[in-house]
Amino acid sequence: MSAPINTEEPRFAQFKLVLLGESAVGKVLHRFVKDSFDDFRESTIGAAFLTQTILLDHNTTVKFEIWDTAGQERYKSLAPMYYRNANCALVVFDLTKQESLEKAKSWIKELQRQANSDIVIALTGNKLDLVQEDEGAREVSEDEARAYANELGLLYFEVSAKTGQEIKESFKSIAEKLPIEEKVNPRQGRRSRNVDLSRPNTNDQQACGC
Amino acid sequence: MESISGRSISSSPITIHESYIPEPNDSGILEETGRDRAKEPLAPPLLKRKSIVSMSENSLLLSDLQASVPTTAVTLENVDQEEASGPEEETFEQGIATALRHSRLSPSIRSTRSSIVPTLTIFSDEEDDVNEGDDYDEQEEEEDGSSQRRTFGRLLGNLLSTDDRNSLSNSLRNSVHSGIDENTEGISLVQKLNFGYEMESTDDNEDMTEFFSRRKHFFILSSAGKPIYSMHGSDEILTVFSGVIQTIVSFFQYKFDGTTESLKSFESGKVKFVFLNRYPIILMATSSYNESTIEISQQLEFLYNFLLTTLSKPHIDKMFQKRENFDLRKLLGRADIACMDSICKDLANFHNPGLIIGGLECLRLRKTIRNKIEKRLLMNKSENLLYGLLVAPGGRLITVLRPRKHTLHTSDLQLLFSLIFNTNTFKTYNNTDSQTSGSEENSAADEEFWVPLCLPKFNPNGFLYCFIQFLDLKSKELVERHGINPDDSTPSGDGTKLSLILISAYKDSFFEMREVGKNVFRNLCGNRPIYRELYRSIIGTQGADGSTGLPYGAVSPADIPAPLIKHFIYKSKKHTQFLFSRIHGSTQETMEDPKTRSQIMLLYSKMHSLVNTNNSTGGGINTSLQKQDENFEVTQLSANLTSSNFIYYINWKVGVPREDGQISTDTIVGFVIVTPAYEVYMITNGGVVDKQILVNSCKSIVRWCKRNEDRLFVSGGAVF
Ligand SMILES: Nc1nc2c(ncn2[C@@H]2O[C@H](COP(=O)(O)OP(=O)(O)OP(=O)(O)O)[C@@H](O)[C@H]2O)c(=O)[nH]1
Ligand SMILES: [Mg+2]
Repeated sequence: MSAPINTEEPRFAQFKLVLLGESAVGKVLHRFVKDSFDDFRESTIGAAFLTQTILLDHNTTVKFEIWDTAGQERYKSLAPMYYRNANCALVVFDLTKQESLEKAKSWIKELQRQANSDIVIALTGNKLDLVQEDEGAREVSEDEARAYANELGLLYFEVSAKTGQEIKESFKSIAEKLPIEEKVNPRQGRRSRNVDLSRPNTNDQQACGC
Repeated sequence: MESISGRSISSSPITIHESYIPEPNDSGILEETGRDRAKEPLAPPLLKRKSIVSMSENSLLLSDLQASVPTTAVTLENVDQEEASGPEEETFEQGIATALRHSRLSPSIRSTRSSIVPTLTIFSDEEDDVNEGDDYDEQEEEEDGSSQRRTFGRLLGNLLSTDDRNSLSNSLRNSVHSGIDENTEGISLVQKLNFGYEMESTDDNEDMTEFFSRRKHFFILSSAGKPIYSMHGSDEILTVFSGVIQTIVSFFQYKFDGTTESLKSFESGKVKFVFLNRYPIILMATSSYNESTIEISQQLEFLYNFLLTTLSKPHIDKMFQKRENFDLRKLLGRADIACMDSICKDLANFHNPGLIIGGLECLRLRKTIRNKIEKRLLMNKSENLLYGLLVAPGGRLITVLRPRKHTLHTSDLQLLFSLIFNTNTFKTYNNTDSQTSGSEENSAADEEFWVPLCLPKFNPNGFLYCFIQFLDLKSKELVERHGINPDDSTPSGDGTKLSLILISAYKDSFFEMREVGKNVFRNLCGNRPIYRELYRSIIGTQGADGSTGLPYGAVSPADIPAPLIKHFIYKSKKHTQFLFSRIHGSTQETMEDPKTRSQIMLLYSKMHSLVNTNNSTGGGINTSLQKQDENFEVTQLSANLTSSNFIYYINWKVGVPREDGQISTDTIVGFVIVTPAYEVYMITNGGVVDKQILVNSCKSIVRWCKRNEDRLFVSGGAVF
């Protein structure tokens, strides 16, 4: 095992991401998490928690802890619990349903009021495949939605959970906007220092990597 | 859960609903939730009544359902026994029409004793002249110290020799003997379980003819007549019927003297209409499966409890208090509708043995292993954890972790399991190439769920939070770690996943529960004996040569051995748990085939409704013949010595479609024994039924299940 050069130290950061949006817009983005798409899977009850790790560049790993929330109105009062400490939020709407954008806008307002002030918000239009198949199916104009996002300083994507189009890219862009330097996992950092013989660690007993 | 705490069985009555108050039977043992042994007059198969509406005050009271208690019956049409015009002809549609027509007239209300004799009494002097040969089970007799046992044993022998005594009706004798003449051993039970059952599914079809052709319906509406849900039909159909149902229900609600009562059920030809009035919600079901009213009511109760589970009672009440005309559909999302769809589908297809038999299914495990698992659950318990449940695929309980003072109710667990195992919401991804993806990637994508639920029996007013996590026992990593050779023939997908459910009263304790879950799974997987026993029981036994046998968890009648018995269910009343065997000689595939399951459970449901409805007071042996449809004919023989011991012997004539398109008539025999301690339901192949072998097999099953009680059932659980 060769000791990494200090400047090339592998970086590992962990972020909390929350998925919000009206029911049935396609929030879980299985493509991103599992590279699979399930038509039969039914709507979320409560919330689901999952993790996904992406390699941002050759030595930066970003792990997302994702809360996939249920879009149903009745769970709304639980939402603050999920976005409270979130570093980023993916507010999803359905490109073929105008009212789902309205719902997304109200989520964005709520996040800007109640969530961390430095939360990265990405407005995401899903079901791009349907729109590409039939432009008539589109109810939300890209220009309009994008303008809205720009105005509020949000990221904007159009994706398809079904085909996987733009999913990976969008998560990458989010990761790039996140403050990786501040978030470097201390344990991971310690471990890499442990193998760095030039900086012997004397007092860190708990540092054994589980 | 009451089954797990012996104390709650003896100390507190377990109720299915406030208005169902189970009464102790002779031996003082209370009935379990879900399936109160409520007696109700069996619909008279032999009397031709056009429409019968029975009413009971204050909705469903158990006492009203007891055969001995007079009930108020409203007869909508003159009971005219001469009128032979087939009631079969009257359909769902006509039934509704009949009820509607009469709801505008003033029905003549008269009290009748519900003395409709459901069966033909053959003789009732069973004490005399008994066949001494069959001493039922000495071991039993010692245990219960009851002299009933001996007579019971005699009766059992007696029952099976009644044909020799020339005291059975011709129809019964014919059907019992017919098998002996034509040897039908060649046809397996699995082949016979093909008597033309059509699977039910949900739909939102606009076609009225389609709609009326359904054999089972469920409707939910508000007391104001606003539609909420229907199993079949489009929104428009639901809207129309909600109005109709509300009209019928409210018409019968107010008596002339100002008091209220509520419509319970009526029959129209082959179709039974059952109502459940739970202000501000009304539920109605129709069935043409010849189910009993009490069974259908329990199904409605289950559906109603599901609504409470998702919304909670106070929430529903609040919405309707604000506005009588509230549309509850506003609160229900796709997920809820999907859940109701799958619950209705399960109910209509008899896919939930626990609801039919009344209890929970449990995973067979060695006692030491179950104890070890319980120890590990206790070890990892955290402060805000209220209950923990470890469950095998299909909702088979492995064990529970619970506080000393609290138990969980069977019906709450049935709801929870039904939500987790019978809907698609918690199914894991349809990952076709799971074999190729590494374990690390798998675990990265494994979801954990955090679900607010109201468990109505635990507390109808508040929500609990359920942490739900799955562990794939067949994951590459685990299989390699413990030196197991996973075989392609063994179950896969969701059939290999353990579920851990951790319940907390605090909505923000997700990460605490998650930590518990992680540690529990780590401890369970890290222990080779535990892991291997779970693998053996759920997935398959590992042979020395690396081959995999059938899962140990599924007991076959041959394991006992119980000759002649092709399938059985043994329910221990003390535990409110049951053992559901595999079909003798069947493959995993057959057991999982939904249609086979439906047909076998249909038989059990028929047997169970006999247990529920057919124990008239006093001893006697009864027999009756019922023709249910062209493919299905029942001859039943029942004997009940006291109010707590029963024997039923049922001969079904079933039409099995042959390859050449012809229908061949065949027989399946069902045999039920009910005592205060257990219920055994058995199915044999028909054909040659040697009574001595049948009795011996039956004894063997009871003895075997008693001996293996510690392996078959969870008692106590992990208590803190
Ligand atoms: N054509 C197409 N269909 C999609 C896409 N993403 C999701 N869907 C479908 O949209 C429906 C809803 O998807 P879900 O993932 O359940 O929606 P959700 O936003 O998670 O909804 P809740 O869990 O109720 O909040 C499903 O039938 C999906 O198959 C997509 O990119 N293209
Ligand atoms: Mg979802």
